[in-house]
Amino acid sequence: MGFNPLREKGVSLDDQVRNWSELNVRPYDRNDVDPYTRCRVILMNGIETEAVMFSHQFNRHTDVPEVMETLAQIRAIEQQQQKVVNWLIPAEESTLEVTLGYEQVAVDLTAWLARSEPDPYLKQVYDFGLLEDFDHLYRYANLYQLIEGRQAESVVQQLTEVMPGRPTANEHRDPRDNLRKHLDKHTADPRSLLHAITITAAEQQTMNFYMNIGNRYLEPLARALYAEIAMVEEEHVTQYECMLDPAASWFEQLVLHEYNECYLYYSFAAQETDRRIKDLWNLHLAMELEQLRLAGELLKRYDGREPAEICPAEIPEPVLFEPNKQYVRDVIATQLDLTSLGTGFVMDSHRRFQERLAQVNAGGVPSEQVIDAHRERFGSDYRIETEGQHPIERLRQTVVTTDRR
Amino acid sequence: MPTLAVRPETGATISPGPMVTAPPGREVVEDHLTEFAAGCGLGGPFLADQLSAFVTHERMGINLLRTLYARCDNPVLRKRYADLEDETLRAIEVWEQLITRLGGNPQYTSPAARATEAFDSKAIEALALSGSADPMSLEQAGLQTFLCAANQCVANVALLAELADAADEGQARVAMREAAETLRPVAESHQRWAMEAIRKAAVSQAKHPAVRKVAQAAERATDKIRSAFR
Repeated sequence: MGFNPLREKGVSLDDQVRNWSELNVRPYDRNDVDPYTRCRVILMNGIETEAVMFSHQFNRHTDVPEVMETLAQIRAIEQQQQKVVNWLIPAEESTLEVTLGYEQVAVDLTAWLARSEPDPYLKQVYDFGLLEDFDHLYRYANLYQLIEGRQAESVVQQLTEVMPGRPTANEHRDPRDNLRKHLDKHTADPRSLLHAITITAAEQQTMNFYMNIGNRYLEPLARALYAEIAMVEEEHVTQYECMLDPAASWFEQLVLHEYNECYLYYSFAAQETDRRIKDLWNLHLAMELEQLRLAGELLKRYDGREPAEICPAEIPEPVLFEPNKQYVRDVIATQLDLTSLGTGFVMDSHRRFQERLAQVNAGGVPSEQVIDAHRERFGSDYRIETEGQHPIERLRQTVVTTDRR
Repeated sequence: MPTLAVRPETGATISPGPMVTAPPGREVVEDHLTEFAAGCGLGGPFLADQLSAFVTHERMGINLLRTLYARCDNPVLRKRYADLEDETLRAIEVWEQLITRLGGNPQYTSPAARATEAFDSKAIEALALSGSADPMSLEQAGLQTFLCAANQCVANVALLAELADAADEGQARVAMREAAETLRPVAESHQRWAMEAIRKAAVSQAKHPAVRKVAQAAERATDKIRSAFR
């Protein structure tokens, strides 16, 4: 029988509390970290942050002391877990380098989720977001070289290609067109259920990150680019959170959050190449198992349901960070010009889409300016194209010859 | 054994509606339901949607009774909630058998069923706002929630009987009538019991304030013991 988080024994909550020195972990070495280790750290930081913020929201919707006490105890542990995970990121990594890591997560996580999504509509939602985050990686990579004089390959290596996706300038939709249909908890495949929680947490973390650090650069172009892309992340959080079934009760959501954390730590412990961080994923898995058990007790008492009635019958195949180059290229080749209208996807550049673009792009577009500036200084834009030239002819690289007379 | 949670592994299907997506093979469109209760002169899709909502209400009743049982410190009431759970399980079986006899799938969740589930779920969730309620008030709120649920059961059975009367003679009509006759006395007994339990508790507290004080003291003692073991 395979791993079942509902049957495994974890670490008691009392034994999960860590002291300050345990929270202040030694960061990974930016020079030899595997890019996908960085991705796992960034994602799990987002997952723990979501766990904390969800718990706070839940706390505001109940006044039963037993429920509030359990939430508070678990939340304090989740907060400590978040510190340990996020403190793995070294100060030597610049904000832009961390940003490149965030976008690598967005690309390779979204692509993997899309590849494994059984519901065609939800797969389309992932594909749609994928091309936009893929483009963000390209824009930030160009900004990185402009500002810090380094190449994004030092961060993402050659695991993820860097080239234009759906141009960021064309990602600014009317907010009503970012709404999506939601899955139905009765019929949804367990992968759909869990992956929707994961991508929502990941994109929310990216949104929050840009909301807070987008003003940390002196250069006006950098500040402008962060502001523009931060607004797209708002669109992404809207579209992904829409996928979750709004009929799930608070207790049901709590159990699913905890189950998903178990699932992700279980997934990442299996593939982690850094021994020390692998041990951390295993430790956090043991912690989450107990948190899941406690959430399940609340579900039984206050929702009248068994955790097995809402959790997957079997844990799905592990989430995997791996290259998705060909998949991304295929989606670019077929869906680059897609936009959305309401909850649907269309090739038509419809009126309210055009009106929104005209409004927000009226004073110039930072995501285009950064490429122009890069071309002006270096003669071309920055790319990593390991699999050949861009699949769309009009987006292939051109070298600018500057008349310097 | 009746189904308590409709899930992919139990064979769940759904009529998605405009804001819901369903994976391939799980989606039911109106054409799939035209043969439901065929020959009885009633619209199959509508009937299937209604019965899906009715069985969902009974399934949610199990969740309600389980949480009432878990949170109740009154041994007499706890025993009664356990008995009601058994009777509700039986009611689910009757609804599921009826849906099967009419050619339907008891694992089908209609838009009406999703609405019912949302309503019932929020009724259960309302009890998560009981922190400021004293034990007797919580007990009363639990009984009132159950009464609301029982009232809906009675209404659903009455509607089933009406639909049977409106149907043409035939097997579907017979099946609906038989189910209504089986379900009616149980649903009505649940409704009567809830009303009576609320009446008794309210009158006794009104006439004998000491009852309330004793109950509160007993609850405080129970709570201390419970806290000690947490």
